[in-house]
Amino acid sequence: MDSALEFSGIAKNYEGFALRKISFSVPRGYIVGLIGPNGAGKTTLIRLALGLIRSDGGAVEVFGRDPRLAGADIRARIGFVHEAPSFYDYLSAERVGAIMAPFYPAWDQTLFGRLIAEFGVPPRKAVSSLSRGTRTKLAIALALAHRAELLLLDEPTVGLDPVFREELLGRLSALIGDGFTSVLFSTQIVGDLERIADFIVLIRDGRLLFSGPKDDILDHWAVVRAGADLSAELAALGPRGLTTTRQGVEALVEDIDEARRRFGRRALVEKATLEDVFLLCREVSRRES
Amino acid sequence: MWKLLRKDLILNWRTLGLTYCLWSALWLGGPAIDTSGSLTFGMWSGMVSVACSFLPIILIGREDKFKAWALACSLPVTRDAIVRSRYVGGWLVALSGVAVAAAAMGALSLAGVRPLLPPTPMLPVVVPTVIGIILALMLPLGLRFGITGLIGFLVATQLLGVVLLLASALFGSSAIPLIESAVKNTAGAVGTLHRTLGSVAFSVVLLAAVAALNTASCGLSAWIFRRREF
Repeated sequence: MDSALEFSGIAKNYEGFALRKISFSVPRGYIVGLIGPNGAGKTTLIRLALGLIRSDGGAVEVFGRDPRLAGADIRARIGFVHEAPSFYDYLSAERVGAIMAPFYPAWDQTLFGRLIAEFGVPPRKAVSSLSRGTRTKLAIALALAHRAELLLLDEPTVGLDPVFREELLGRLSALIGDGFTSVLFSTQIVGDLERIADFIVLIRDGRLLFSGPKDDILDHWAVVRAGADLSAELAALGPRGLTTTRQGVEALVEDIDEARRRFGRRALVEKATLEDVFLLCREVSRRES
Repeated sequence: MWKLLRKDLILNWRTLGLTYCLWSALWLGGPAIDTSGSLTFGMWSGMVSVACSFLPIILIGREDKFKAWALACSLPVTRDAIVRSRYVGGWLVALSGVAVAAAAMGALSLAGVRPLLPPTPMLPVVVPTVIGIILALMLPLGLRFGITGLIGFLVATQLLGVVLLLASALFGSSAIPLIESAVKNTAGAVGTLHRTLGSVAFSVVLLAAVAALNTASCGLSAWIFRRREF
């Protein structure tokens, strides 16, 4: 599968935090959901893809090229939405668009005007007077107006009202319909990804815990809830995560059929949701490790 | 690079315009301080050039204020182009500052409100030399450390000046013989070069040296800025 973005064993060290040899790719024409708690390393990965920071090991390739060396060409084809978009606050949305436009060969002024109108961004109001959600809408309009081939969205739905969130998700789904545009969507609101993502990447504390098709999770993974007496038996199953609760234990396992066969009526076996994966997944997969 | 300059102009024209007006008003008072009556338009312009060389701090300061470095670096431009635009922009801002102040002072001087002695022919060389030296020293720090680096640079030079003045006052000028002799020797060497080469050749050499210094400084800044993380 042709990749728009590929991380191969990427590492980045900060004081008190390190990304450890993370590998995954964003195939062309797909949406990849990047999930993980605060401080997991999601923003660091996106900054690496943009060439804003250097890696301490491994490689990043965007459209087959190193973003640190071919950054200008690559960034013309990337749309980027930061979790807290920063602009020159005293300018209006219209003016911000006018400043950005000359940098992008594929900039579509008509599309930009239409997007800010559809998103309800006041064109002539200073950005400083806009709410966080409206600033994010402006950032999304800017990212879409130059017809980017790769969208890097860093927590884009934070601060957005549910109606616009739905609209954004619908728009992203439509975008990848051309089989060419790709999206890396980082979020903690995993419900967003359940609807639109094709692949899921889960990171925690700078480590990759899972990377694979979303449908693998939704079709085959299960949450087993059982009494504490089954703890050892569940652990022997090699679960992705095992948590002790007041009621007993909860385990995240990869094979729902096997879990049903082995535990039958002794435990509650349910299909896992992305929320379950986000909360329970602790172990690095044998497949990915 | 031109797109970046256009961006900076759109973003900063109001602040720059206001600063030019205040700057000029401040410097127009300069001749009133001089009681000797020997202040030439050239000397005044030299002093204004020193002050205007620090105007590019506005560009860097506002980039810091709006946390816009990451935004600039996520645009489809190279880091080298950003650095080059900062140097060209810095020169344009400083030269325009001198031009605005000089035009105002020229008008006042000609009108007899603040009469100054006419400038020497070296004026077109002195102004870019002063600006070039200060920008070459200042911009690498600004591009690496932002406004904090520039303020650190200014505070450090001020503190150095205060220490030297204190030392000189307490122990006499012999306390700083190394600096004194270095300044005297440099001034002497420049004077000798001027006399030997003649004004025209000397001006060409001086401007070429300033251009070389700025090229080296720009190269250093690009090397530093490529390594900066946002």
